[in-house]
This record gives sequence, structure tokens and C-alpha cells, in this order.
Amino acid sequence: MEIIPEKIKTDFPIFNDKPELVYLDSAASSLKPKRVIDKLVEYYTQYPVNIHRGIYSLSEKATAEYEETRRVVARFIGARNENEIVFTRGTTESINGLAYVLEPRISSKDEIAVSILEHHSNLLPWQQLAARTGAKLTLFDINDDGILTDLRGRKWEPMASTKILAITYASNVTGNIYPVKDIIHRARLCNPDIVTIVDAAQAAPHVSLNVADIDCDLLAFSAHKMLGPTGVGVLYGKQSILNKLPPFHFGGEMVEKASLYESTFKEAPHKFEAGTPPIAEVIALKEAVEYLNNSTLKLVEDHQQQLANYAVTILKDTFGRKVNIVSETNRFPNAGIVSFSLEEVHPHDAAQLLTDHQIAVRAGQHCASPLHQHLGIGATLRASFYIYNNEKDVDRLVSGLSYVFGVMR
Amino acid sequence: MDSIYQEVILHHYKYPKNFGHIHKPTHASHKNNPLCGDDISIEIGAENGTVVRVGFTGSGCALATASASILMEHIKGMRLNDVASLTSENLLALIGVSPSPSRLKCALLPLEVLHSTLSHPLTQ
Ligand SMILES: Cc1ncc(COP(=O)(O)O)c(C=O)c1O
Repeated sequence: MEIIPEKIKTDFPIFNDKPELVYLDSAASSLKPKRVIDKLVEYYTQYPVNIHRGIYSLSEKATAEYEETRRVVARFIGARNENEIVFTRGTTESINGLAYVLEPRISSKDEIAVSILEHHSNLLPWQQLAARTGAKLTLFDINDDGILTDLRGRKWEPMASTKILAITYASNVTGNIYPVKDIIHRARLCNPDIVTIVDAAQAAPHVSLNVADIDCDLLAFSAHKMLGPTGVGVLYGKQSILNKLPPFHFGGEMVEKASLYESTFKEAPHKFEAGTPPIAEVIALKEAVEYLNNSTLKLVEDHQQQLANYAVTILKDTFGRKVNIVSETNRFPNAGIVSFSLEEVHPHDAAQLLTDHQIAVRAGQHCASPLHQHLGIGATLRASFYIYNNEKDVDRLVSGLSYVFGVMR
Repeated sequence: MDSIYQEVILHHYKYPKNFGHIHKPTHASHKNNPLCGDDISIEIGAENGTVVRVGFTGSGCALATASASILMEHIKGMRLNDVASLTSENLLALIGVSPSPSRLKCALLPLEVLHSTLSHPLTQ
């Protein structure tokens, strides 16, 4: 079996509308298959009501679909059971929520450790937590052997005072997929009580996740990068830790017994889902997961890797030193992301000119400014691939870039 | 949408006018857009309330650079208070293209820097 992008494209209605589209920005948000869109319409036309509230059959249907998604997602990421799956609005909300509820555990003598590779959404919440508590924020790097180092490349290890380790599974700039399982294992040898948090926003679309195997405490990802709708994300937490953490939000749904001056809350995961959730989006996420399961993630991983390799090779062969690729390390598998800069052409100009050829790429620092500073680079162009992309799309990018160099010369 | 990469813009980008430092600046300022790396500094030399020398330095995309070049040409010989009242609409009319919302800040960065120079007179 293999991924056949030409066939996959027919499942994505955008290509009926824009057959010429070369979409190379899936790391920002993936396109959506018809199956997911149909499910949204199904909810809104057939059972468009609230969940967990009505005892009428429409509400029961919506509730059943919603809770079924929780089970499907639990299986998808290898959770022990569905109570470890919390639905949020996305990775950003999941991590911010964690940074609030972990606050009582952090004092000014503690350390919070975050990698330099993070997207702002797995850095800024920890910066803020450090500022609120007076804890020390430590930034670490990951070397080519997957070993944690300080920012000058010397070995770094968590200490007893390192309460939190937050790390990305895959970089949204370099595409590197990191050995988080080993990293977490080694961190626990240094401090068995460390709380480990994995940002899987870029990994979930490409890697067959197995949270029980990785053995992280908490992990977050967003549906919209993995064929699903916007506005919904998943926060996975080990049952033991979810039970101990307080809710992030208070209100309807999450309460067990409310009285005038105090209330008690439901068990996890429901205590973390206050208010009416994005019901349609959660339900349609199930379709995205099943679609990915059908394409088999192992094949997706290989496909992404092949496209990234092909892109790096052909960019270098065609443009030589006029193109600088940000990360050429082959030490890690690649999540289908290639970032690069062009000699003498600003990324904004290139990205804008590429739109003349219906090519969508991202230009900027991709919400990872500290990483760009650390690497000593300015803004870059990023081409990111997914299951509907093929080598022809990469070839179109290459001819698009020749046009860019022609105009800007 | 019409391409913003018209001859005029490309010409000002490749051969920017008034690029470099000037003799005896009376006002100077600098701003950047850290997310895209555009970085523009402007120096003005004014005499009796009139702009007589202008120069800009820095680096940016074609739009930011061309916009700076065009703006510098325009303000030479203008009264400082007229420079202060230049608006975004004035600048867009001068450069003659209508950038998409995501590129507007590139085109307008030079005007922001220019306004900031007026509030940063250099002590001689
Ligand atoms: C690595 C990484 N983490 C977090 C996020 C944030 O995801 P969201 O915007 O869906 O909250 C992104 C998305 O850009 C990402 O690439």
C-alpha cells in the first residue's frame, strides 16, 4: 500500500473548486476532506442540539456522537481509556489551561524547562507562569543525538527543582520529529516527579502517537492540522494527573453539585469541559481521525519524509547556494516541513509572487521567533506537505521560485 | 488583484533613491517589524522648518523598500508640518498600488518611521 495523492485529492472539495491550487501550508492548517465537512453538516441538519443536557433523543444522539469521538481519539493516540481525553479549543488553549492549573505547584525556587524549538504557544504560557510565580524559566536545546543541551551545546539535565518540562514532538520550522519518549525517560531518571508536557500539534497529523509508550504526563494537539475542523483540540492527560489537577474553567457541564457558596465538580475529563463545547467540530474530528486511520499513519509518515527529501534535493540541485535550507540534519525523521530563505529575495516578496502561480506557502517566523534568533536567521519561507501533495507540487514550487528570482533579479 | 510588483515598485526596490546616511541630520528614527525582519531607519536634515536632506537605511521586502524610496523623494522640500500630516492614504496614493491587508504593514512601515523621526529631533 502507498499514499496516492492524486486519488486523495478527490476527497478534498477545495480541489474541485481550485484544481490548480498547490497548497504547501498544511503545517499552519490542513485542508479538509468531504467526509469531515459532511459530518459538520450532518450535525447542524440532523441533531443540532446541546449535549449532556436533554433527555430527548436528538440530544442523546448528539451526546453519543460526541462521546464516541472521545473513544476514537483515545484509541488513535494510544490512551488507556477515554477519560484521559479532554476536548479544548486547540493546542494553545490546552497549554494555557495547564499553565494556570499547574501554578499552585510552582514556587520561586522552582525551574520550568522549555525547549528553544517551541512554537510561541508552548513558550509564552510558561514565560507567564514563571513571571507570576518567580520560578526560573530555562531554555534547552536538543542536539543531533536527541540529547538535551543548554543553548551553548553543553549537556543539560533537569534537577529536583525542575517541576515542568515542556517540549515539542515535532518542530513547525524544521520539521524534525524528536525522540520524545527517550527524552522523557531520561528526564524522569533525573527527577521522577517532573511533569512532562508534549506539544504534539505538528506530530499528530503525521506520527502514529502512542501516549502510553511515550509516557508523557500531558500532551496537546489541534484538530485543524490533521484534517479536522478549527476550534477543537485535544488535551491528553494521564488519569492520575488529570484527577489531581483543578478545572481551568467553571460553569455549566463541569459541575457535579452547585450551591450558593460552593460547588463540587465532575471527574475528569468532564470537569475540564465547562460550558457548551464545539460540538459539531468534536463530532467531525472523529471523521478526520478515521480518515487518517484508513490512510494508515505509517504510510503518511513515509510520504511526508519522501516529499521533504525530494524538496530538499531538488531545491539544492536547481538553485544551489541561492537557497538556504534551515535544517538539513537527517538525524531525525521529518514531518513534511522544509523552511528556507532565498539569497537576496525577501520571503514576503517570494510568497506573494508565488500566489501568482496558485502556490500557497508561509513566509515569516512561523510563530517561533526565539528559534529563529537562536539559529541567527530572519524570516523564512516554509513549504509544508500533507497527504494530498505530490512531487508535482514540489516541481511547481521550484518553477514558481524560478519565476520569483526572475522578477526580483 | 493587480500585482503589487509593478515596474515602479521593482525599480525603486532595485535602485532605491536616497538610500544611505546624510550629512548633519536633524531628526532620525528607526523601526522594525521583527516578525518579517523589515528594518528601516530614516534621517532628515531640516533647515528653517523645511526638509532639505533625506536618507534611509535598512533592509526590507520590495514593498517596504520601494515605499521608503518613494516617500523620501516626496518629502524633500516639504515643510515639516506638512510631513507630519501625511497619511497612510497619501502614501498609498504615491506608491500607486493597493497591497493586500497582510502586506499593508510593509508598505506603511516607512511612514511610521518618518512620523517617529519628527518626534525625535537630534540635539546638535
Ligand atoms: C508546534 C505547534 N504548536 C502549537 C501550535 C498552535 O496550535 P493552535 O493554533 O491550533 O492552538 C502550532 C500551530 O501553529 C504548532 O505548529
